[in-house]
Amino acid sequence: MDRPVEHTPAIALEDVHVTLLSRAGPVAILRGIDLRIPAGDAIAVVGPSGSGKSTLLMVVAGLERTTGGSVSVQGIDYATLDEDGLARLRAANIGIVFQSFHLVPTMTALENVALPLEFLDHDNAFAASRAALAEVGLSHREAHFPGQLSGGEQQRVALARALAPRPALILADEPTGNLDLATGAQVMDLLFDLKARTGATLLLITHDRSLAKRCDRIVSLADGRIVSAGAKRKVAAS
Amino acid sequence: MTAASATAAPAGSGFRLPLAFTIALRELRAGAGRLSIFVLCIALGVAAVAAIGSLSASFDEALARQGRLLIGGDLSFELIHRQADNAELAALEALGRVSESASFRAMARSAAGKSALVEVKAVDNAYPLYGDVSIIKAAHPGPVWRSPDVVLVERALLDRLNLDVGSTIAIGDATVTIGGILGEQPDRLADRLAYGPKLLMSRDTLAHTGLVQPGSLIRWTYRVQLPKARASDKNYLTKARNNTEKQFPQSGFAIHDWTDPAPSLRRDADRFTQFISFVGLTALLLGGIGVGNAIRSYMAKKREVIATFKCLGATSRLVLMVYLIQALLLASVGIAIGLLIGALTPALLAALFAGSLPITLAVEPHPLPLIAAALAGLLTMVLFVLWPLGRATSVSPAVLMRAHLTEEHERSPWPYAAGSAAAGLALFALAIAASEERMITASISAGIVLAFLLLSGFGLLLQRLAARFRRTKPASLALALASISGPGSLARPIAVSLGLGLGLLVATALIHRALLKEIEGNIEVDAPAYYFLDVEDSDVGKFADTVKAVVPDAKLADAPMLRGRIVALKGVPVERVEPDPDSRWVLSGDRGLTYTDELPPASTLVEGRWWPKDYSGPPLVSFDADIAKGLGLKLGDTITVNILGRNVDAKIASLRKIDWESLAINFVMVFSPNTLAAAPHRALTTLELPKGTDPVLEGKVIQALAERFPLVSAVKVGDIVAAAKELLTKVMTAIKATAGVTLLIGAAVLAGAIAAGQQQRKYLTVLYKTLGATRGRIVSAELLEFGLLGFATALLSIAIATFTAWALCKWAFDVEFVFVPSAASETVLLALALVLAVGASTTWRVLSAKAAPYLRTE
Repeated sequence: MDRPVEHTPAIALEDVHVTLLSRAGPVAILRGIDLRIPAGDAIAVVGPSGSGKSTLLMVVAGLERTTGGSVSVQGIDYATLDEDGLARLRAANIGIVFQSFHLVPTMTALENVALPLEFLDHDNAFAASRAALAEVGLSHREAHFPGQLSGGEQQRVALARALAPRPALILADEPTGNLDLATGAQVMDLLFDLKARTGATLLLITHDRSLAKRCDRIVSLADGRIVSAGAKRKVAAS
Repeated sequence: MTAASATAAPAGSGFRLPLAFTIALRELRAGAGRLSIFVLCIALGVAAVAAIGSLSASFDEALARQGRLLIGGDLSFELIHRQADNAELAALEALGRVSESASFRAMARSAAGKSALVEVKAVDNAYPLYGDVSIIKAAHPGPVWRSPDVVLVERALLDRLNLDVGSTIAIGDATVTIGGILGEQPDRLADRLAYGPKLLMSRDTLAHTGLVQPGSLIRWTYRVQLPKARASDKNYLTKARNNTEKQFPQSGFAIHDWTDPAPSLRRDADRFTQFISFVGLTALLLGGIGVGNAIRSYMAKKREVIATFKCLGATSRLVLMVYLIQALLLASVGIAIGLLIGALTPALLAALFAGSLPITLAVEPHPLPLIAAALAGLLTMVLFVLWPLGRATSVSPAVLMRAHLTEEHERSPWPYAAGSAAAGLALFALAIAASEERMITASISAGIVLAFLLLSGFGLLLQRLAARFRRTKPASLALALASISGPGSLARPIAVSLGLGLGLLVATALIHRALLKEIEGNIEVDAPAYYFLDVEDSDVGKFADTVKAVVPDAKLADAPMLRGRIVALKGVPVERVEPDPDSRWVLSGDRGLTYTDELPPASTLVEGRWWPKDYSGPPLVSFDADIAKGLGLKLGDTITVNILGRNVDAKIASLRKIDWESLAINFVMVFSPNTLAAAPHRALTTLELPKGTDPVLEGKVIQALAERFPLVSAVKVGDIVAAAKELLTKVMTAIKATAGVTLLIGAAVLAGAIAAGQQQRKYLTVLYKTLGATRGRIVSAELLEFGLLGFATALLSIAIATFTAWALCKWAFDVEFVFVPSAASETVLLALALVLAVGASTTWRVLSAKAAPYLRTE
């Protein structure tokens, strides 16, 4: 796919506010977020529970509309897109890895991975999916349903699904939250490896400081605000 | 990358059916089991509509196909009181081969002195023109009834008079031998309602009986077999009928042909089918509610999957297509099953009830009713599925990360609501278009919808009431009321799914009891014990003397009687008259006529004046006021009645209100004596025996009369009443059976609703157990919940049914309504049994739920 001109940030948030209505009244989740992430960077977003990390990810994914400010991904202003437009943008440009995997239980591993490619009318969706599953070491499980896979295997399938369309942007929300330490480490190694190979930009929500340190920058959130954006780090070669 | 290229729809994505189909099938692989209720509800609803439509078409087809057999010829010409004269006979013979028969009632007397009323048919050697007479246990092979003084009788007569084949009986002045037991015969449907066993004899034997007298109540039928080349030509049939009517305008022929052999039977069958079609429509709508519940439950489980699809790039339209395709596929399976059941219903009924049905049903499938049922099933599916599907498309992909985003936030976009409404209107339009009584269908369809809304509202009321009293003791009751009032309450599902079926059953039972009571209470008590036909005028006095010699306190009444057919009203032939449905019967077939110079008993003049004694002016007639209104007749109008081959015009001189329930001898038309007195006729005599008359004495009266007046027929009212009660019970049983189907569908809908809330119940049960509730307390709570809802629903059903039955008794049947507690108590028990049975299976499952899956966090 086309890569943006270097100076166009992969993600650009300008004075983003998100306020949700609850029974107790309006609740400000994000309060004036300014963030620019260059293409190809890996950014960790850390912060205590309720700081707005997941909301930040949802805003970038186009799953949540802002109540103020602007959001651009790959130079595309989200304000110009309707729901279907955002869906198409996600299929083509954004791969999402969830804490709870969110595989479709009625589809095999191969079919799950092929889904975003099918939504894009990809000519060889299943061939590309097989390749993606091979990249995560699960070729032998392509015919299995999620219920027949372990947690780690499910997350690897989810990873393959997120990366099969070769998106420019990967969003990962606590991808190891439901995995044991060893499996989680395997999954993260895979994630960073694939990120490096594809040159995608990575936005990683995590509580795990050791994981955060693997990223180029750590952005700290507290109470809906960025308290520290962090300088770009030189990451030691693995 | 530009916004346009990144977000542009992929080429050809405007129509993405193949991908939607692929994903739909993948989804169904694992999910179809949960939608078995969906398929079952559609199947049962469509089966009900298809079965009713198929039966009706099958009956009509049978009438058309067996027309020749049913009337015994290609054409039949019927006269009352007289035979065809030479000119008439010659005209009929010019059409084809003619068979003449005489039908009448007579008394058969055994040597031991017992007598019984028989329905006699005396036929010539050309009979039967079509079909065969089947003889069971014949004395000799072949058409034994053609032998002189040999007859065939139905087995019932042998049982009644304690006789066998070879015995002799007296009929009129003749003694005849029973040559065999009469089985099936062609033209049985053309016979009127039989009050006694049938007897077949030859014309020669008839001549020996002396029963053919001027004015005797004999029906002469001339069946014509057309030449083969003409027999199936409907145009020729119509021409033959019209030419005969033109050639003999005063003959009084009642003409039928094989294309419509039994119009009144067909009309009655149509009316009955119409009624149970409403039950079928109710069953279909109930099935639709089950479908709606099933799809709502299914889509609720799919929220995360839909959100995932949207996260991965699926558009709302693709999501809609995926689940709409699933619904259509499953609906197709349900419709196919329903159509199969419906198509096989005529064959099944023919096999089970062959002996009881008046004709042999045409058992092959009939396309039109099946197509209508399939269309109705499809429209019902769209009506109940589109709204929840629309809601599903508004699932936000953020659902995956936001637990607070419950279904409450999701609304169905208005086009889906409009689509559902359009499907609903189309469904009702289909029901109305398929019906002959469109206003009635529209009203009752609206009534059915109102009934559903009423039941749904009642369910809501129960929830509110339960919420009000939920803080109560004991704890089991509190848990039950909390469940009734909380989210996922079964109050509305139980009320809607069972309320209508129960109501139909109760209403049918109450109406049945009211009609039976009318027959038993009024007719049996107040009616004369016997009607005697064909009493000679000169014998009336001797007749009374013979009775009083045995039972001195017996009461007799008599009236002269002939039969005639109304052929025109105000100069307009009756074929061109559109009477009220309630008055139509007067114009079909012949009616009893009488004359008198006094106002008959139990009659009140409401308009006009009675003619003076010895009136000798133009013919006058006094008409039943209600029937006159239904026929559009007023004082001074002229009616034309064919009597004994002559058209008689009579002016309406008065209108009478008749108290038919008094069961005194009365007639719709009473003529001035100068009109009919000179015509050959006989008397109708009624006999009332004092209450408590010994049956042996009664038997002696009948025996004496039979011996002294062998040409007189005695019709025992008790036998007619028994026949009427039996027919009524059969009809009501058929109606109850269709109501039972509605209840069956209701049970399926209820099972679906309970299954949808199963997870929530299991979670709560686990929680209660964790907090210290014993199994006994949980079981009590479950049973109380189902029991209270079942009981409340039964009460509402009884109330609605009672009101409906009262209204129908008062305004439609004009009989006294009496509430029968047993009908109500049976309903309550049935409701409780159904609800508790379905609930018990749920209780067993929730009790066995393990705690860990519900209490462990991820």
